[in-house]
Amino acid sequence: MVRYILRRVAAMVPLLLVIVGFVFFLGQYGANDLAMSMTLRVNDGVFDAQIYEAMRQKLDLSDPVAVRFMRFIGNAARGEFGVSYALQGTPDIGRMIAKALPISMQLGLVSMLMCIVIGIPLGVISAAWRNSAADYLIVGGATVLSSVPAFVLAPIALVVLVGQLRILPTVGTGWHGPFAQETLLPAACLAAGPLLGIVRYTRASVVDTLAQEYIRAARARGLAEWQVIVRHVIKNSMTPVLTTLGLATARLLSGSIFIETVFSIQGLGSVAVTAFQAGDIQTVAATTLVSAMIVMAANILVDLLYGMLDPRVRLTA
Amino acid sequence: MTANASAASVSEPFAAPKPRSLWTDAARTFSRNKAGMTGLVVAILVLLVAAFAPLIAPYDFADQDWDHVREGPSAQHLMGTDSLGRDLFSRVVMGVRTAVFVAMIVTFSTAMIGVLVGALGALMGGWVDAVAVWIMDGLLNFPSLWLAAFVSVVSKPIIARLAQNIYAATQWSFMQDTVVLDYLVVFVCLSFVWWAGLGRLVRGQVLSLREKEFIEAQRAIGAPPMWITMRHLVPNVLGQVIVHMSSQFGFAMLSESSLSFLGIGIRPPGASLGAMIFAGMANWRSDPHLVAMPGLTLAVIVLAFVFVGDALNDALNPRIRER
Repeated sequence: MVRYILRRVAAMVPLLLVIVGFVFFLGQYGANDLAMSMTLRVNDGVFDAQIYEAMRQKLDLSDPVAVRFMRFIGNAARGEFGVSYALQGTPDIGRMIAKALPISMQLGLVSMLMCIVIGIPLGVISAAWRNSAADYLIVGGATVLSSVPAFVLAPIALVVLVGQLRILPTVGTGWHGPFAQETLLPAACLAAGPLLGIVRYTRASVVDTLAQEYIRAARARGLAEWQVIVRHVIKNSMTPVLTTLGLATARLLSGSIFIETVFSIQGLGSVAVTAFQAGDIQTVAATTLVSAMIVMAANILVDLLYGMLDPRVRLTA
Repeated sequence: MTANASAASVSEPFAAPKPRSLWTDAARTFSRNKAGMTGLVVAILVLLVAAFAPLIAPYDFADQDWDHVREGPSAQHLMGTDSLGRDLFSRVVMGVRTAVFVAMIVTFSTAMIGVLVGALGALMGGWVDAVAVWIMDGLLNFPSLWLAAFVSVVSKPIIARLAQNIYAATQWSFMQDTVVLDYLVVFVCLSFVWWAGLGRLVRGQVLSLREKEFIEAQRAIGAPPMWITMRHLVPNVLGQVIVHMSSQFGFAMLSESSLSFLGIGIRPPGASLGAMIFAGMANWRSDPHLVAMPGLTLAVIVLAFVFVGDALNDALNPRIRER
């Protein structure tokens, strides 16, 4: 098992380098000359070679690329991304992210939990009664929920549930903790995105399992259908479902940008949106890197769980 | 598989009933799929609306009428008016046109890049393949919209500078238009992020097809490589590419709106559904129609393309259902 873990983590290193490389080269080389824009800002829009050189020194822009790339990796590993020169008061980017990230993580985890708790039973039901009205309703409903974009679903949910029907309390702005009533609607809207993937995968996996010989054997022993499903089918069909959780993480992160904007939650997504709109490449690069790291961590976690639950994977992969 | 059947009929003229081709077979399967057909009708309507938007829109989408501000839907204004008295229906129609235009360019360019890189990687192997796979895996690991936004922020100054240079060289005045710049930025960032999914798909398909028995059989009877490629590899990969493109088309429209919602896509005076929804969010309580009209339009369009994509998938890839 230890060897398997080490091998899986080691296999991620090239990918990690590619991801950090993307962010580094896009952020440092793709855009404006940062030293230039800082010079212009300090010197009232007039270019001055001396100040420009000083700024380049300050930003360590004159070192070779390889050195700067290694330094970027080192700093990023410690959560240091420098300060944002485009935002008011030049805030420290690492600190902004450190403050916002826990909020986004809590929101994301609540949504992920909702996805699993709702999506997996729905998938099992639609597989057990496949091609029935219930199946079509579940898959169709999940398709609709997942296809409607988050920034359409959330306002419409606000209008209908809060404005018209008054089922939910007024959604206050800000973050009230993972178990607050105010969190219910944003988390549910966020969970709608990855729901279809989970329902579909569960359904496909359960359908596969139902066709196995040992299920026929279980039925032949006279087990009631619900016992067959609970005892034999679910246990054996859950490992493939695990793989979708990595994808679901990516979708949750993309969705959180919109949900946090609509519900004014001060998470990673709203830090990113502020930076997008200000054209603040440093902060955008840092948040993008953090989001990619979260997806990667989720994928590694899924891999490890997979290896723990399914010894065949551990031995062959 | 039908590809086999039709190939067999070439060498065996006596093979009785006339075999159906992959495409007629797919068309039959597709036409039996109710959700897919509904989606197709909506999708064609959307394309028609986009093509003839200026004729359909009853008002100019930027015309302000201060006597009719924030009105609900009426006979005069089908979807009501916004806070500047602009006709919402006309704006939605023009927003659809914008989204379709972006989606066409982005779908086309991602298909080109994806097929090229995927096929090259699979056919050349070695380090070309390794680099292609690394880049694709890296791109796919990002939350796609996040990366698209990042690329849009990064590429905006570059594209602005480029456009300035083009203008200086050619005097094309549209290069100074901010809306044209917004379009270019959206094309670049969505294309950059999106080709990887298709690239991986094409690579996997080509790799697995090359090992299939029916390709081996063709090789064994001495079919020239060109024949194998055109007759067997291309139709089999093409099915997947078409399925991918059709479902991506809706998502490309959605992505344009998403970026515009965040204020980094098509900005005013350009018309975009996403920007309209964002503007409507300011008073969702008093004027829900400002959010609901563009929002529901976008939702219906995305759903229609998802249904078409699913139905095409069932029709063209009968073996790969439910993935």
